[in-house]
Amino acid sequence: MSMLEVEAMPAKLETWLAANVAPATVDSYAVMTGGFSRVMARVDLTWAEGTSETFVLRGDPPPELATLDSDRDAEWGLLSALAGIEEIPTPQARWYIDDESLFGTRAILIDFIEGGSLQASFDAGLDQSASIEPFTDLLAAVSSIEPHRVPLPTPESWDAHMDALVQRWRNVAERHGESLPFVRYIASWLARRKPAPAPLRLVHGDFQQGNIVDTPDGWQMVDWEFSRIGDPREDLGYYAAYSAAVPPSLLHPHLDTFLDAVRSKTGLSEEQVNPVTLGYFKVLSTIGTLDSLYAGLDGMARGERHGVAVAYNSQLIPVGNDQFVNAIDGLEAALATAEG
Amino acid sequence: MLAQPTTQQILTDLAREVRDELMPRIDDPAISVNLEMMEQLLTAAAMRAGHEIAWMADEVREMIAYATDVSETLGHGPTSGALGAYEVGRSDSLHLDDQVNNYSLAGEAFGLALEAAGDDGTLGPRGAALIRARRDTELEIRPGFYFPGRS
Repeated sequence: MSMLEVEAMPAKLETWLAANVAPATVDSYAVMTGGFSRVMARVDLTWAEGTSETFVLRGDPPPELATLDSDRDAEWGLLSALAGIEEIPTPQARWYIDDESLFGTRAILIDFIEGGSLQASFDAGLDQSASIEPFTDLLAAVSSIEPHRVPLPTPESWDAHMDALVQRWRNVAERHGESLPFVRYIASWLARRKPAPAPLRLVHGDFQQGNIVDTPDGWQMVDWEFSRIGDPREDLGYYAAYSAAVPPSLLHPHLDTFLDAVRSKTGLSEEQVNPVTLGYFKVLSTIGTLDSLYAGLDGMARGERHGVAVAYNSQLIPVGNDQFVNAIDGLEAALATAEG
Repeated sequence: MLAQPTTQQILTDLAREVRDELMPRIDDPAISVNLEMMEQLLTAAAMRAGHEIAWMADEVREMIAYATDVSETLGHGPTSGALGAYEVGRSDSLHLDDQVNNYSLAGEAFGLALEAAGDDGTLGPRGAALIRARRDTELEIRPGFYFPGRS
């Protein structure tokens, strides 16, 4: 059983709702596009008392089709906490189905919100320069959340966190079935170029315009599966890497304006947020997704995973490698200039 | 065996068929995204089929030369060990699996050598140049990248 079995899912869902929430009829169940790592379905239902609601059901694909790994328990815990944090606009998570025997996966029912992705709005002509303010508002809102407010593991210190992130790069190289000199090169470079520290905060982990829903009432952040406590510049760097591969990027040609806005809204200094540190975190921050991309390909090479989406990881990793090399070159050039 | 049309030509034509014949007829967004990914993968596979054995063999020579210089200059034990593993495990066979194994063994020695070289004034830039050459090959495999369903 999996969430992809669209004919069987309505009845399964009705059974779970009747036993755990209230009787309801599922009027439609449709798998949604746009989610690369998780299976998401739009669920339109009518409660027995007559009202109708729409939800997003979010769970894991069958293991052999998995492209990226993340933990539904942790995601549910975080979404539950975010419901009480008004600074973060995100659709409310309503129920957690932790019995994998029903849908073949643990799954979360989240309020459906009307609107397309910010990516789609940009593609339709949304003014990019005017979007810097609300975009950096959202970035700053996430990075304002102190570790004690969310149920995520808190690193012992900033240094320990950074060392652990660099070690994750090394772990990828150690674990992968094929040697990965590119990854070893990046890990070595990251270890030698650590920037000035910053306070530990909530990091979304996949902060990009495809994960922002443009609703009539404002923007809402979704897809918190890779969230963690870390350096707030990780989201900034990740966005730089992602948007360079999937344009547009609000960083260019408005880099100074963008970084000024980030500094003023986060309280981070110019030593902490500047083009050089942006380049560093552009490389460092992608380990959360790269780790899973490599794991998917390794699984395919060992015959444990299959499918177009898994194979497609082989297209994405070179995009990252190109970004990393460009970022490293830019940072090294800036350092050489600074050193005279 | 019949060598022509080559594997590269067949895969290139399959990619064209997916792009020009199948994709325009599909209304389901999820299947469209899958087909777009498949078209990119077929294009990349065609390029690899035409060149990957030669590319890997060329790069193996460069990686081993570099790792050997790092090992001799810096006396780096892990790099020396990986070079030894390469010598024991390498094969002259042109079968793809054997070439892939050579490439991986050489890549391990190269990766460890890069870590050892670090900011060394000569070996650092030389290793960085080899990494950039690998990046250039990767770019050649996937021209015109875009992320289906995302852009």
